[in-house]
Amino acid sequence: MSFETVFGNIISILSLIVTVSIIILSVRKLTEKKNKVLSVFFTFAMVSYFMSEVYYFAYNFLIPDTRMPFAANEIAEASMILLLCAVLETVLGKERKINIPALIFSTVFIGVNIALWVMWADEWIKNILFGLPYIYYLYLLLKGVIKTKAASSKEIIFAAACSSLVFVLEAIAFATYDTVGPIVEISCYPFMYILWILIVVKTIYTLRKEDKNNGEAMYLSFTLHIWTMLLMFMSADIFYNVANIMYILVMPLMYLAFKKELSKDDIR
Amino acid sequence: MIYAENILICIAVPLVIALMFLRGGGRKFVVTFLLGMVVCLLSAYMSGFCQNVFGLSAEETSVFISPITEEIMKLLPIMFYLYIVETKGEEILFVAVGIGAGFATFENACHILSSGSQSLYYILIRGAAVGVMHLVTMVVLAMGLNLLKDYKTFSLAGILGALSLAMTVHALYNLLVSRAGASTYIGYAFPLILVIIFWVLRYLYLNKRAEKYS
Repeated sequence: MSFETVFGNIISILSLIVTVSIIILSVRKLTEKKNKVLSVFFTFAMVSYFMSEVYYFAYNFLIPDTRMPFAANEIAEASMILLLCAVLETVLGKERKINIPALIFSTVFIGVNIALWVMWADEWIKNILFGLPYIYYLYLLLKGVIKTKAASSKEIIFAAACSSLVFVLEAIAFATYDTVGPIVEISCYPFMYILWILIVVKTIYTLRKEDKNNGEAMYLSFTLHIWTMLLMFMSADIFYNVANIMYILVMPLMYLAFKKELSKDDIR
Repeated sequence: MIYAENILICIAVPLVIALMFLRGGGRKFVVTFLLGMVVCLLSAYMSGFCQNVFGLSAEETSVFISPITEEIMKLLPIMFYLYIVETKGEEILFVAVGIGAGFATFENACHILSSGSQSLYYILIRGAAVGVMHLVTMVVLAMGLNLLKDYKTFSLAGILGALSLAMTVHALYNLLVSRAGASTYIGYAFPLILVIIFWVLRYLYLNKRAEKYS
């Protein structure tokens, strides 16, 4: 077993501990007479993530350093994304009006991501199939962020520009891999981490705010979640493990946002 | 090499005849049980097809492809049932359990015929593990669908989420039992552990609810 696999396993164990704690806390929320649908979807989403980590851990242990052709941990991740989409659908309520700009951006943005994943891994069916839930997830997030004004127009434009720039640089890095590619690839990381830190700060600020809550904290923490996932997919070697640690930090923020959403008086 | 279709006919004929004498819940259970067996055969066809198309080995198919095809095939009759029948209470759960039991029984029958049934110890473990695993994944699915129906939040995201979770449970079981050694035993115990967790959660939930209303 290589050093990276061992380190990956240690992070997986850490992640499992955090996830189990969140599952226990959210199961306790299930027994309260609050928004039960939200609690169930969130709990099951966390269970999916837990299953994904268990599968990854078991796979690395039983068949180390072998690429999975069609991995169940990715199915579990898709399950988590879909269940988080169900959480967001519940928070958004009855509003079914399509937000065209959000739909176009999410389709193009994740579409570019899928194209990059296909180029990197050369796995067409898997990447396209598992990329689809991300489009819907990002769409719901954008729709929610715009609706609740969780972020100002300037902040949204800055985040969109920054994340798009990262993908342009990644595409250039891929095209010029034999020449300046590795340098271009490293230059992406500051942008990725700066954006991540900004979303973390914004989420914590929104979580601490005590005025009327319209789900802003939830949209922001879930946006942080999708950005961390994308960051993880774009990172290699040691950066991948750093991204994994960042992911572990995001989970409690998501739970806190979920808890804040539940503390609202209205029961949908 | 076994002739799965012939085995299906052999097991199904007495059950089909039994249907003539059954009414109500008993009849419904036998129908869903038969459906579970047919679904098992169809998913074996699909897994075999994928194995040939993707050029995978039998073990790779069992670990990576079967959980996907089997769970999708098990979901389809439930979705069809939900579409044509207005279900009440936990009816979906009963249908799901019937399909899961039929599926597990047929899979076990085929497995015993192909790899022998000399060791009672192995047969007991295999029977309990596979039987419970198919039931657990169906219960996960049924619970998810029941919830979506009860709260009128039937969305594609929710259905696919529940389906993917069931696939992962199944895939983890298949992965663990695919390797010899301790992992096999963990794999066999895994569905039973899940059942115990479900029972405990249900017990705690019902207790808490009883306390609230007393």
